[in-house]
Amino acid sequence: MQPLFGLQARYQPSSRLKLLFGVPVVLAAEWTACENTDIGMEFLYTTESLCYIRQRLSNSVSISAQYHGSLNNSDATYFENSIYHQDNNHQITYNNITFLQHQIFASIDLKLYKDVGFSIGAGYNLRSNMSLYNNTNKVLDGIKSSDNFFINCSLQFVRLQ
Amino acid sequence: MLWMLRQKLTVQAYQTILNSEMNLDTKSAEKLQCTNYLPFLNTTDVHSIIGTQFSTYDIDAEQSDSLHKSIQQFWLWTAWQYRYQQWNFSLTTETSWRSDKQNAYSTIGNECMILAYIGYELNPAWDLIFLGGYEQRHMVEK
Repeated sequence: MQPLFGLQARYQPSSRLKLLFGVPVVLAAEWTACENTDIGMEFLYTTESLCYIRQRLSNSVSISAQYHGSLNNSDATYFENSIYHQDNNHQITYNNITFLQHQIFASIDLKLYKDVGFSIGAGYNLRSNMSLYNNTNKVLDGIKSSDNFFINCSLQFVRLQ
Repeated sequence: MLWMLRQKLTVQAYQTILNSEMNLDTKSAEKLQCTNYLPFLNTTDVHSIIGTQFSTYDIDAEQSDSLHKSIQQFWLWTAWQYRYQQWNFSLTTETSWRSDKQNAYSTIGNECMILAYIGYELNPAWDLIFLGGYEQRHMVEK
């Protein structure tokens, strides 16, 4: 059992600005810059960060562009202690993996009726870096993944107030 | 709507609740992810929601002899909220299981997390939120 603690403060000085800060969310903000334009960002001290801009074209249609960055870390037990590399008949075992992924995408959000919405979008996973560490935390290997496109669609039944 | 959900969604960057989400990669990385959030139990005092996610992804690295893994993960999330005057009491649970398809679906790990949120509304503009809980990870040795 590992205990978890955090303290956040939420501050909403006006209907156009929402702020959240503390731990684990270091800073999250959404600002209605213009009447129909929202700008948002989030930075967590752990694994994720992102920013986005959303333009509301009408009461039922909006478009947005977003960036996501996520950092994943797994230790060797996750892979059953079987992560190794054979080099000149010398086997090196890795103890953890760190994987950093950047992602950009754009989406269209549609409000179908009342609390039901639909969104569809497309994006791009940027080339990501994977690092393997041994007992001394020294980087033994660096791996770059292929970049690739993805599609995303969602159906939304519950709307936040 | 659920105060706790706003907290959860703030973690997810103010994104709206996605009832169904599919993310397909078309090139070398094989990844499939499906997420659902549904209202579960809603009364005057208690609100709750349940979330599920199933994902598969492959990890393949040419520079390592052993790093060719195909992982499946199932994720279950519940959230419960009760509000009393200026106090908000929320509880979330997260549980996930992983398996490796290349090892005959043997379980290689599971995680469990319980978080309690206690929020106090100072005034219409300010909320203070304290959260605490436990995280447990368990790996199965072959």
